[in-house]
Amino acid sequence: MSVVPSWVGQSIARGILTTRYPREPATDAEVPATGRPPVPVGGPATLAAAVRSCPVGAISEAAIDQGICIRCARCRTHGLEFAGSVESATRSRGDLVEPSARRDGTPPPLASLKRSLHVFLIDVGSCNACNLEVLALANPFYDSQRLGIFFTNSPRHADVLLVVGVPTDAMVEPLRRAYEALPEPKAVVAVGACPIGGGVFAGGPGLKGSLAELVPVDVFVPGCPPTPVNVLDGLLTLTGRDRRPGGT
Amino acid sequence: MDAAGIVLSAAVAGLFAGAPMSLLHRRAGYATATVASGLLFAVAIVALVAGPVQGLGWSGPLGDPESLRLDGLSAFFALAASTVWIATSFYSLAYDDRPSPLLAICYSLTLGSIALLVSSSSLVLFLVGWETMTLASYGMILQAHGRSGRVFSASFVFLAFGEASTLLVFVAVAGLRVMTGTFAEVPAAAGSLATVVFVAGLIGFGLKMGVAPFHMSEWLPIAHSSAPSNASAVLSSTLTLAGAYGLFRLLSLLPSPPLWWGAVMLGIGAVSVLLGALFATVSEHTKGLPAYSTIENNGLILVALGIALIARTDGLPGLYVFALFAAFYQALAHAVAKTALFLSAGYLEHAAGTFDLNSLGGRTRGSDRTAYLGTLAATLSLAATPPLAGFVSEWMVLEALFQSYRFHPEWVQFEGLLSGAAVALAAGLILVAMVKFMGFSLLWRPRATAADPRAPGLGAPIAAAGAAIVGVGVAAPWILKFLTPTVAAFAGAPVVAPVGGLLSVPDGWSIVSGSPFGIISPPVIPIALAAGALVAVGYYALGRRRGARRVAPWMAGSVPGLERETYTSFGYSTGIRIMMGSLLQTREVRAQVGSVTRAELATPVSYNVDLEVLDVFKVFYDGLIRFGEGVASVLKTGVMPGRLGRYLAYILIVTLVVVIYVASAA
Ligand code: SF4
Ligand code: SF4
Repeated sequence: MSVVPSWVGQSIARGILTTRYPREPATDAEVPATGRPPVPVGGPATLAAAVRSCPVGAISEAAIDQGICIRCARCRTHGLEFAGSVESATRSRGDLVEPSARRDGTPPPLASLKRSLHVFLIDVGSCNACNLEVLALANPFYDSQRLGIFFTNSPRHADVLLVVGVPTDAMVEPLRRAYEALPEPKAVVAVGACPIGGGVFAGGPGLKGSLAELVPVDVFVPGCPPTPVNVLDGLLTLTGRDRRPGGT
Repeated sequence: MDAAGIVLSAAVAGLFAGAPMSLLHRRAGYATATVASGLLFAVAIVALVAGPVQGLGWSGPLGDPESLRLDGLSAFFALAASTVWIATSFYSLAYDDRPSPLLAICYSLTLGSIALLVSSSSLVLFLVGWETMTLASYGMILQAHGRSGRVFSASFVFLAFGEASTLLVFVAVAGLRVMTGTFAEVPAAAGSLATVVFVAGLIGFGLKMGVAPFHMSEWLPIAHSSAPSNASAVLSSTLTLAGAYGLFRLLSLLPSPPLWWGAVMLGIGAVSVLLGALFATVSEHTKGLPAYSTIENNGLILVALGIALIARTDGLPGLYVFALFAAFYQALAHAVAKTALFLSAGYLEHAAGTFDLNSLGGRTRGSDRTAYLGTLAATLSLAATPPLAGFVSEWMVLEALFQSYRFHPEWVQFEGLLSGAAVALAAGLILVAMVKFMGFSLLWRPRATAADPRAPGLGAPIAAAGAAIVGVGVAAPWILKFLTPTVAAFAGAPVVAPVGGLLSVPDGWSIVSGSPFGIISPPVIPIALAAGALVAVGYYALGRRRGARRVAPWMAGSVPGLERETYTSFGYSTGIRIMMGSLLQTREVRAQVGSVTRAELATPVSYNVDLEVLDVFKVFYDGLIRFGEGVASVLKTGVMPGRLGRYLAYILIVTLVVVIYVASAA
């Protein structure tokens, strides 16, 4: 019988397990293969051979549309590898296809908010996998609070609308209301292939094509589902605290 | 007999006279009841201010003097009951649209008999009033719309419990008569019979108060048969009040209670409070929910009374008096709030044609705003929101419970601890229940289409009851002072009301528990609220000038046209259904929608899935009934099968036994 509970000793012995991202780069242990976008390791010329392997048509002879890619890995046998950057979030839909120079000098949308972001998660028709990945940010390993990122229960208290899922007809109006309810300045982050371009559900009945048709999207986080590090990167992009080289 | 005495006699006679007047026209009956209630109200105030009122007197059939009188104790109950009746009788004028006058007759008889039993000076007259009350209220419950088997069986349960109660009260009265040698209300000396009297009285009166484990008698007839709303209000607010009166009267006649009496009452009270709150939370019925809340409130009266008795035995006069004040104030607060709530249920029945919170959904368009103000006050008060009556009473009961640490021996302390936890837990649960009632009857989006959204004449009495709730709450310190004669009559000694002042609050504006233990000032709360509101309004006005962006309030994204997708009342309390599954015996029931033939087996089958909760005590009583029926059937087929030969044999045997007995005795 010790006076100090055993978990105190255990915790001290184990040390801090929380990820050091974004202060340090994400380790491979923290990011599964699908957390990185597929890239043609042999150069763009090899893409043509892989076009037919992609079930969602994300690969064309010229480029890969990361916004559509569902990370199914079928193209890995055709010369592509999940070897892209973990910092895969982009500020425009076009960047998901043709990675331009990532920094074009425009200030981040929520630059004024610096160290505190309040996030309202809205599910407009997801398969739930994205929800789990996003909510993992609140657990002790990713611990988004250490970066000043908090989840709220009402859009009235939030700066950021974090949207998961492909917009279903029934959620169009609630989504619009949530966007209305956000105080200024506000931003919208589309998380996963679903809100970016319909994902695996693209073209289904009762669905909208993409989130961008309904509300202005500030940051796109590709993946199906993206890993928590991808989402964290997307959120940090909003205030310019992300790990991209070159600064704002 | 002075003027007040004449008014008292006229009031009681007038309440009974409502019955024959109803034969002329139901409205005439209700009007008579309204006026007579007003008289009773006036004379009750006179009795509290100027001392006991003596009314009509005569010599009873058993040679004892019988009379109508209001002393401090009965004046309080007459006051509380007549306050309720003024509202319910006035309400009935518009509410009762039945072609037959039966409801009006039973209604008047119930009121008259309650007035009689409260104002009788003799225990025999009390018993007469008690039994008339039971029968007349049984008649009221029978008048539910749609006389199904359900109505009959539910009202039969009420009658059965009622008669059991009369029987036990009879035992208590007989015991008192043996102890004192008279039917007049004189304190009895302690004796072994006192225990019998107490136990019989506690169960007998507890049956009428609907406390655990007899709460079936309270919710079943009201909820299952959907008794008429004016009847429900009278049953829940004043019939249970009659039970409380009986208990108070009985205890005032037994002045030296042993410790365990208080402990038993505290225990029963705490269990009732918890069960009542729990079942109220999971009830979807606009009458079932308030009926369960009645159980909770009567439990609180018992808790306060139990604390008072323990404090007296333990030699804590301060706590004794404070707990008594708490018990009386709780009775008053419950009476006014529950009246408003049941009248609201009647209004909703008229306006939307349903008792189901799920299908009500919210306030129907074009409905009466005054009625909703009353509902709002009632639910807020029952949820113990400052500065309403229910808040003050709940605070007083909890304050009394907090001081149970002074009790001896330790097991009573421990009981006080557990009861305190139960009462606090119940306070949280009842908040959920009341928010549910409020939300799904007047705040959220309507689902029902209005039958007659105006329901003229129903709004005013509800709003008046609502105003009474606010008044009783805000003026609590003065009301407590006003109740001093009542508590003195119970305690048999002069008492001082637990009011005082602190800081810059004037003396007499605050309620003080202990010496001093806790303190609140109900009249200051609305002043502070108003000041806060002023700041908020001022800020808002300024903000508007600065040009704020105006958006619709966020309501979880709900949109018109998606009513069916919104939260239901059932969903609101499902968390509690699951969390408290072991107490509620929650189970899932599936009913397949439509039938599926073999050929269609490939198509998906749809189910209606529902969560059912069970009242464990009902299971117990059902078992008891089955046992009784089993015994009866054995008697029927085995002992009394209708064969002449066997009967002759019985007669022969009995005759022989008697002959042998007489012969051996001679
Ligand atoms: S991972 Fe799958 S979806 Fe993505 S590009 Fe490769 S084949 Fe297409
Ligand atoms: S993006 Fe993929 S994981 Fe996320 S909700 Fe859509 S289908 Fe599910």
